[in-house]
Amino acid sequence: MAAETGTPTTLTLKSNDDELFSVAESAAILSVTIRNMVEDGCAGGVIPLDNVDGKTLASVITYMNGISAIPADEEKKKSYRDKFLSDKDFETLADMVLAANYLNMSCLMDAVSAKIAQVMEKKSVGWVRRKFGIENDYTPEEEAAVKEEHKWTFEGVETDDDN
Amino acid sequence: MGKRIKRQSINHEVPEEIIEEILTNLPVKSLIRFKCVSKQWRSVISSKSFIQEHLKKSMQFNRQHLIYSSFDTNPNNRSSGGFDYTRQRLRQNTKGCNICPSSICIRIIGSCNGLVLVTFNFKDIFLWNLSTRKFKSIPTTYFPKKSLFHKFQYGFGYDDSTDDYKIVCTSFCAEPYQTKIYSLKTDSWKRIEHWVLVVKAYFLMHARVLQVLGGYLSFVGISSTLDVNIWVMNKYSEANQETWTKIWTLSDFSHPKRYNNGPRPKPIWMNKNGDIGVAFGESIVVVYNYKSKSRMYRVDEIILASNIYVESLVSPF
Repeated sequence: MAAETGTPTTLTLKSNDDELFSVAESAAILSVTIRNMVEDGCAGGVIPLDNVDGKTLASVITYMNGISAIPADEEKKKSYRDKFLSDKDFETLADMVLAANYLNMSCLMDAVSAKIAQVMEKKSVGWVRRKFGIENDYTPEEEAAVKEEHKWTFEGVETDDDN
Repeated sequence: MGKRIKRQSINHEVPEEIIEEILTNLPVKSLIRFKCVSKQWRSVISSKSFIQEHLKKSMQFNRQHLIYSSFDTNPNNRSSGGFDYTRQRLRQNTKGCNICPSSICIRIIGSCNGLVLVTFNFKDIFLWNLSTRKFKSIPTTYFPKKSLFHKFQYGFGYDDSTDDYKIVCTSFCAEPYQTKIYSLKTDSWKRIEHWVLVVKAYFLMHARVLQVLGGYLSFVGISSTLDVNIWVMNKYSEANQETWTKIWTLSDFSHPKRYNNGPRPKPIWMNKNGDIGVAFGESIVVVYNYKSKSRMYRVDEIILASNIYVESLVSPF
C-alpha cells in the first residue's frame, strides 16, 4: 500500500468507452464502489467502470479531486458542490446522477438530485415527460380530469426551453 | 417498482429509486403538478413512504412557512369604533388558499408535519394542509356546560406509537374538567380518564412551548432587564450533552414592558438566511436577521395568532 511507503498511489480508471484516467487513490475512494474494489485487491491493474462513459467520468474525477482538496469544512464543500454543478445542463446532470449512484458517492448523489429538482421545479409536465423519456399512460379524458383537479399547480410554470 | 424508465436524450435508463430520490427535493406544488406526468409518477408521489421521505427532506431543508391570522389595520377596511372581526383572515407567507374569508374568530391551535389545526368561532375545527390546500372538518364533541361561555384548551400532535394525529381538548366549562382525545384514524372523540393518557395529552398540548426553529429546538426567555433572548439547542455533543446558545438578544425592542405580564414572545420561524420571526404576544410579528444583527421589517398587521408549518404532502384525511 502506498500509505506505507509514503508515496501517493495512483489508480487507473477505465470508462465504458475505453478511455483511461489516472486519479489519486485518496480522491478515488470517495466512491464506495472503487474503495471496495481497492480493498478487494483489484487496484493492481485497471479498474473498469462499465456504467460510466468517458465524458461523465472526466467530470466525476474533476469533482473527486476538487472536493478532496478541501479540508473538513462542510460550508466550503457545499459551496464547491454548488459551483461545480452550476453550469451543468439537464442531460449532464442526469448522467452524473446515474454515475454517482453506480459509484456509490452519496454526497455527489444528494447534491445532483437536489440540483435536478431545482431545474425541474417550474417546468411543465410535457418537459418532464420528454426529458425523462416517460410515456403518458393517461387517456385524454383521464389527463384532463387530473389536470383539472390540480389546476392551481399549473400557475407560474415556465415556457418550455427544449423545443 | 421494478420497471425502469427510458430516457430520450441518451440511451440510459434512470432507475425508479433515483427518480424518487430526485422528487423528494421538490416543493409540494411541483410534486402535485407532476402527478399528471404519468400514472406511475402519480402513484409514487401519493405513496405513504414517499410522503414520509419528502417530509424528512422538507424539515432538513427548512422548507417552512409562516401562517398567521390577522385583521386589517387599514381604517378604511374597518368599521368605526372597534375591531371588525369580519376582516380577520388567515394568511400565509406564500400565496394561497383561504378557507375562512369572513370568520368571526380564528385561532391557530397547532402545527405538525405540515398539518395546521385551526378553530373558527371557538367551535368549528379544521385540519388543514396549506401546501396541498386540502382540509378536513373535524366533528364537534359535546361537553357538559354550566355557563354561557365555552372555555377550551386544545393541543395537536402526532402520536408515533399509533401512527396517528391527535387532538386533545380540555373543557373548563364545568367541574370536574373533562379531557377528550380525537383520533384522525378513527375520526372520533374519546373521553380519557386514565392518568397516563392525561399526561400524554398534557405533553401534546404543551409541546409547542419549545419551538423547533430551523431544525433546532429553541426557546425565548426574558431577562430581568426585559431583554428578550432567543436560545437554540446545539446538536448533541459527543458526550451526549445538550448545550444551549443564545443567538440573539432583542434589547432594542420598543415596548418590552407590555410583554412582562402578557403572553410570552415565541420564535415562530427561521430560514437559512438567518431571518427569525418572533411573535410578541398575539399582536406583533417582527422579523430579525440574526446573522447581520439587523431588524428586517415588521409585519404591518395586527397578528392574532401565528405558527409555522413545514411543506408536506401529509393528508388531513
